[in-house]
Amino acid sequence: MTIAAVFIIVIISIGLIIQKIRAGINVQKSRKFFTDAQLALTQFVLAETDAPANAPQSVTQKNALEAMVRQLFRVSVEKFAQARSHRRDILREVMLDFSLNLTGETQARLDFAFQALGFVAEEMKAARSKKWWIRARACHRLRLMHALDAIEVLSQNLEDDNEDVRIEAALSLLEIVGVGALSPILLTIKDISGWMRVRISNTILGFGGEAVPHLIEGMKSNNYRVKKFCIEMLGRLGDVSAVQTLIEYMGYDVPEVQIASLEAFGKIGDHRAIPIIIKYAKSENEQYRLAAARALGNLGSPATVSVLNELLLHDTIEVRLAAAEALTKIGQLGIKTLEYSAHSENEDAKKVAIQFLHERTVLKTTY
Amino acid sequence: MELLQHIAEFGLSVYSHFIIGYFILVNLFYFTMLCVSFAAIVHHLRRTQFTNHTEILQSEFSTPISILAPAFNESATCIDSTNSLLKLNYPTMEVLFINDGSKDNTLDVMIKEFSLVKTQRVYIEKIPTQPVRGIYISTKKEYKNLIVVDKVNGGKADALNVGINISRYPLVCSIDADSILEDDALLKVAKPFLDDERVIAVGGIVRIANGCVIERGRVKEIRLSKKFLPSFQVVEYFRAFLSGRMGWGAINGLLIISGAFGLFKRQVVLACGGYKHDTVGEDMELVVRMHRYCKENGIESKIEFVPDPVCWTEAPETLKVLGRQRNRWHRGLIDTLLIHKGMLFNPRYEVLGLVSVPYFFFIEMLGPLIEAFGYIAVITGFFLGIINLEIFILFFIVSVVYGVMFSVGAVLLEEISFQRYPRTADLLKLLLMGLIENFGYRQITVWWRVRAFWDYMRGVKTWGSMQRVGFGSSNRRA
Repeated sequence: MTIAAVFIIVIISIGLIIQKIRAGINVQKSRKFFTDAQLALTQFVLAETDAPANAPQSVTQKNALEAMVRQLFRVSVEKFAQARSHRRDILREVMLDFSLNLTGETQARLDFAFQALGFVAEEMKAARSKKWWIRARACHRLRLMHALDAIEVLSQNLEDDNEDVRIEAALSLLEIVGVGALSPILLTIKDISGWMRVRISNTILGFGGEAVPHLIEGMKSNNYRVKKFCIEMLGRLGDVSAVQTLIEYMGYDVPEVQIASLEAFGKIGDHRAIPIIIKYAKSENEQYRLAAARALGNLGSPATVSVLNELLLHDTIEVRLAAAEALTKIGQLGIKTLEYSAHSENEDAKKVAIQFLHERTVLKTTY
Repeated sequence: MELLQHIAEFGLSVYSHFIIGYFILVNLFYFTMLCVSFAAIVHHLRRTQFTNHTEILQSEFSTPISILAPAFNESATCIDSTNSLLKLNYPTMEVLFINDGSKDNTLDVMIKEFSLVKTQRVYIEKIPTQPVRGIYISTKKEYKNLIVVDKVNGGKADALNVGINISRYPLVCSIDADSILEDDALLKVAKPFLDDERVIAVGGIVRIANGCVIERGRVKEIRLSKKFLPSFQVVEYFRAFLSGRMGWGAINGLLIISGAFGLFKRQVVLACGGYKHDTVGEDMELVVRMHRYCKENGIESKIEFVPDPVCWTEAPETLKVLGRQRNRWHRGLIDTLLIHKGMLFNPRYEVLGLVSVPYFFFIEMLGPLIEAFGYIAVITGFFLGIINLEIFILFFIVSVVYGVMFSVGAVLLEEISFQRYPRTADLLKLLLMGLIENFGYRQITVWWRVRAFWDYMRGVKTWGSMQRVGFGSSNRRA
């Protein structure tokens, strides 16, 4: 065993040193291939041609574009597609890198090259691999390749066991299909983690108001986290057309969903929600009161001052602080209420009122 | 006399059999943990391909973080370290600088530099602490995320508890005032909380900054120190973090998150009662207590380790200071394990009770004692003429070989994953350190840890001063 251990030490040590030296040499070699590929690709996307890559193509136009690909990469398209060389990997990486920054005709031409060089077919096959990281990477690459042919395999991957695969598939569908893919995605995924929320929320926000009907449709999901996510997104989009649906969903008896709705009301800022928020501000549940106080603060309606004043006397400090903060957002009437509380006999309400009035004075004069 | 000789021979024979069994068990365990860590790092690296941390930075769905920076007599470094924290990449965060009754002018320096004013903020003492003298905020908009708390001295644990009480956000990050976090460290350490809502705490890797080029609180160039002692510690940290904590995290048996850099779910920390004041191992004790609290209350929980959010720290460069540090660490370990001895072999705590706590108890805690007794027994046996010198040398060689194997394994994990030391010369040096640490350095660390038992029994609770050279505004640490 000891001899085996010595053997392991020697092998690993020598291996590490050789690897380190080889890595340095490979970087230099690869750099030249990278430069060549970048140059060829730049010429390809900028070359003048009558064959538009994004329009329905005739055989002649397609042949013309294929000829360009052949000419620029100096290999036959078919032969190159079969080669599994280091150069091929580098070319793909460079093309994927390019696709991040291209739009319009140049992007369409690049997408054509992905198809012509066999990269799309290869990634579609990889998207069905047994290894999750290969599936996830393939989904990611198909997005950058704008591969319309891959919609079916990407849709299947929405139900993958691995979360990274699901996320990459969802993002790819949103990129390739557009906002129309949103509600099918939300209704297909069985659950949504915090990480998935982070990743797809930016894309959804990018759709703006167009996403609202799809998010409302997505609220029909059986999973409460997906519902909650849709509500949060509606809140962030701030579209008043969502308010009626959100009011209806207050009947859905899961606290997380109801609290998310209360917060969304505050963000959307539609006064139709005030009665229902006030109802929850009087709830026994501290979390509802907190969310209601915050929502009322964001709405900033003077009509809610009396409710917030009541919350200033609540047993829990967090609720009192939220109520005081909300009052500072309401304007003059809210400030007057706080000033009154600062002189009240209730020590708890007095302390939070003084805190907010003082900080408001200090910060207002300096910020 | 002959009878004594027989008794000694018998005792030595029993002890040698015990030692051989113990040695095999320990090495099998280390080997298993190395393999688990290897698999965990490979999995982590695969996931990293699909992780763009800027997305967290741009998202409103990230979980806000309160950074807790306790400080005692830090007037020389407090401005740099606070500025460095305020510049970290994270969408929503606050920095809570807690002046733990410094005797120097730390508070005055902070007030002047950051234009602070005392507020009337309500202090909610959810965890009992020493009195808070004042809570300060800045009048400058660029420091709106900074809150400075002045409190009566109560030690690091007490300062952290004040920070937890005051913090507004669901995650609290504890750091040492003299550590340097990399710009994206928070983004990386926060990700497990997004991945899985069962995660209650996450530890990040701590690396040694000695030898690195540091400019304005940022590590600009990573290099190994030219001195032996910090270099030995680099290999030790690789073993501890990459082949130890990575593996423990993977099996949800992690018992330690370094006090220098950890992120915790505030709600669970509050429910557990915060950091314990009367122990020198408050960071480990809190983690064990959080595990225990969740298991005892039927809460599904996970404590993870992520190997790439880096916290740089300054390692001791003298034997005296290093000895004090190791002594304190070992006292903390002993204290924590004795506080939670009820978890030992207790199936109620699953992996923790059946694997982690027994490992830390018999291998990490008692290991130095067993090794020290081994040295004494061998020397005694040699002088009594009842030990075969050849067998002793052979055993020593075997133990060195295994020691080197695990060090090389840890360096391998670093090389396949993060390759923070780009120079071939540094790699060679690390491999060499893994070999020569077995001749002298390892024995010294055993002695420090044996002494920790004595100090623990004497009731020593002090930290011992940690003299640091410090990270200047621009310096190259030798």
